[in-house]
Amino acid sequence: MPVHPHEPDRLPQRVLVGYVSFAAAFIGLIGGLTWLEMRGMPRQWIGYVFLAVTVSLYAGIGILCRTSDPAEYYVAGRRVPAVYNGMATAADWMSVASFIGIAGTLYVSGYGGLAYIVGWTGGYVLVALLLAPYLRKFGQYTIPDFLGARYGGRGPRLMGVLCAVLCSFTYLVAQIYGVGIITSRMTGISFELGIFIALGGMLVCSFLGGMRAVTWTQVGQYIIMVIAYTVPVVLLTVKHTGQPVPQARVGAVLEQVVQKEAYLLNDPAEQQVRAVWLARADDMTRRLDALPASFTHEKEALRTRLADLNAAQAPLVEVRLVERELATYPVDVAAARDAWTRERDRCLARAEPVVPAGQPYPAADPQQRDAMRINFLALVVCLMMGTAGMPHILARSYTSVSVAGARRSVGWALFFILLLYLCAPALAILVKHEIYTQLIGLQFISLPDWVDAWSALDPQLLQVTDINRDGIVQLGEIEMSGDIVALAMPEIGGLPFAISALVAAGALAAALSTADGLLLTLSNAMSHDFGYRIASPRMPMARRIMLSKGLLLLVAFTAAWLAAGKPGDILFMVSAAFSFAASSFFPALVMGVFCKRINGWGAIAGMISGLLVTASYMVFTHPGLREWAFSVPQSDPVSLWWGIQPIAAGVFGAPVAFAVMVAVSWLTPRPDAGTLALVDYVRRAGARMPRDMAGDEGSVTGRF
Amino acid sequence: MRDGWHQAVPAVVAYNEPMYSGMTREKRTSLSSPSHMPPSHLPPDRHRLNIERATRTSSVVDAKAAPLRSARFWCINGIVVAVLLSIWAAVSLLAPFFARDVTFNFLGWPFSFWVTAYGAPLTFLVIVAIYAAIMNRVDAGDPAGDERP
Repeated sequence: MPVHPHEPDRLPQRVLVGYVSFAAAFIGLIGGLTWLEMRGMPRQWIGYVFLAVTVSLYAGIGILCRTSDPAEYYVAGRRVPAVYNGMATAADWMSVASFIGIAGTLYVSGYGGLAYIVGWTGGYVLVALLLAPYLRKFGQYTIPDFLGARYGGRGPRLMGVLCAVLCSFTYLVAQIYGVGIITSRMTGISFELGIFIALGGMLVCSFLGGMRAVTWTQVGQYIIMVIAYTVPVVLLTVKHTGQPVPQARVGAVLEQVVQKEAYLLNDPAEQQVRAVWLARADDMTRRLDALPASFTHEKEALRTRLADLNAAQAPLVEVRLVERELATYPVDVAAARDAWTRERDRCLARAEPVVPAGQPYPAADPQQRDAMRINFLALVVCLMMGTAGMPHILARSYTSVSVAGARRSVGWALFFILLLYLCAPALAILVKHEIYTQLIGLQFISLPDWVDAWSALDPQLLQVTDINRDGIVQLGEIEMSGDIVALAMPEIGGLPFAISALVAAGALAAALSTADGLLLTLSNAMSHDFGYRIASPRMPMARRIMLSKGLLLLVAFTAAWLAAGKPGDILFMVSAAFSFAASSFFPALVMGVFCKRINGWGAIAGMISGLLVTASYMVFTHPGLREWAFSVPQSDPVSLWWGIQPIAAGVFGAPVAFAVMVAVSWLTPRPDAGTLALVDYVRRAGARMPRDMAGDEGSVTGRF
Repeated sequence: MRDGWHQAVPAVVAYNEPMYSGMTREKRTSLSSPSHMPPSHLPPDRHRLNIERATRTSSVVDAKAAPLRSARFWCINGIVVAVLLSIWAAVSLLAPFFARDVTFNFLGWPFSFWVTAYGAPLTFLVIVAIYAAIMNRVDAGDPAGDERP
């Protein structure tokens, strides 16, 4: 991209021309590929073209923006104009979870999914009002820098480093995992190869150019994301309503969906399917009640059935099915109890009628409705505070030109995020409408191609099985994971494959841009804050940059190695990161600016207790984590506080952190005069550096 | 030039460290008010140079009236933040809380769905924009000025 350090005055115009022609070229590429597809270009090639063009583009920007200058490497020279900083923040922010996850959650849980939209946008109000201007005024390199300077000593900085790693690393693994899924779906190459190709493009960018290259790449990635997300939604809206504005027109489609859902609720065939699921659940309950005798009994029954089938020369498919069931039969009684409980819960869930698309807290029982409402609100609050505590987003305030620019750039970031988020409800509703009108009622022999393609990729993503054996697809027979809603949407809506590849390229951009930001946050926290500030403060600048780049590679490959192992329950890990950020960084940073009395002891104690409360709530209430920590079987009931699910554990951690910070600070000495002067300095955009702080660029923190 | 700054780091640390390490608790608290700032340990010209390094500004302004003006600025900021945050809390918490009680149609959508999906996020955008507009205007009227014109 046309960015040159020595021509700041000409920067905006040149950049604008550059990005506008970039967007035009990208739209031209989509048009050209659609045309070639109609002329018979193989689908796989379209995927290759998108992958090659986008990844080499990101690497190219990285090479153009290469730098070893510390201010450029850490904070992009602090001269990114507000609009571009906003775009880069938006790209940094919107991960696979935003690009794929929000529409998927809205599809699966209807109104409940809106908690993510409200939480993730409302967090920016906190960033703008409570943090961004002050961090920009402080003007160092990393978030632990602020903690180190404000609270003094190594402890707070070390806590900052730990929290940054805790919040960012799991998030990074999830992004790289997403990259693997998307590239393998887009081109058909293997999961691991996909990870390493995309990682290559990403590393060229962040390794060579640090924050500067990442910023300008993220602007390009944002443009790709916004095109990839809005174009298919607009096309589908035109298809269904004849007009191009989804936010205005899809309300009518929602009405049709609601009517169809009311009809399906009482449809005899649907009731039959649900009855079959209920019967299976009852069978599992019967087995569970009869344990341990049923363990050997069921195994025997399976063996006899297999023998019978073989004797009767039954179709091979049925024999294979029973063989597979026998092969995956639980090894002992405890495993059987666990597996059967899970199967029972799955069948019970499938026996439920579909979650209504637009109704808030849909439950017949008022108590259950209240539980849904309190969980919705808890999740909103937790996500808001978590957003405002995510170090890779906060680090973005350092890159803007001035305090005023930092305020404006948060506004732009929210604007650019909303361009996507406000399309997500429409997307989910349109996909639901397509499924209800195109798929339900279809003969099983004439299933569309995309059903086979996605269920071949992973049966967990999509599974359509004839439960009641009537040869017709019922809603209760479709098991669709939310993760494929956004990716499969063009195919479901009957759009050309080039649009599918475009969506995949957008999702890839979302994953890579977030991963880049996280990688820099992690490597800077470890090299700048730990390696330089804590371990060896006399390290020369050139060595510091080298150390940062080395750690960047190390972190990237560790995360890729972990992601290649396909860890389970990645969504929970991502939301755990938000809870940790909400209960550590958020209280420490807000109190650091708004309450002068808080000292280092208070900050450390508060962050530790916030993290402990959050982590222990998760460990005690999340069945998977509990099994891992105390080997309690997952089937045991959990006791929740006020019915709040572990996904929103941050709502308990954050208040504890605030309270402990205040209590411990009041019991220990006041912060010294220098710290108070620093707070005064940070609070006022026009204030100048207090005398005792003035020194070398890093000496605000250097005096400790 | 830039490398020169960084070679100066250990020296600055050495200048500043004795200031706090040898100080008793009483002494520290007596200095706690911002109006009693400890004298600079740096020579004046060096001090000025360092401000430039730290804030990347080219103008050092007179800050005699700074404490009073800072208090006023902080007060305005506090009021603006409090008002905007109460709107923020009302939109993000009250709307979902009463979602089941409002059922009328709005712009073709069920109102509770619309307000959570579109109304709240757009309100957040307006809040952030208003805050930036007000505070940037207040800053522009600040004699100390923003650190970069």
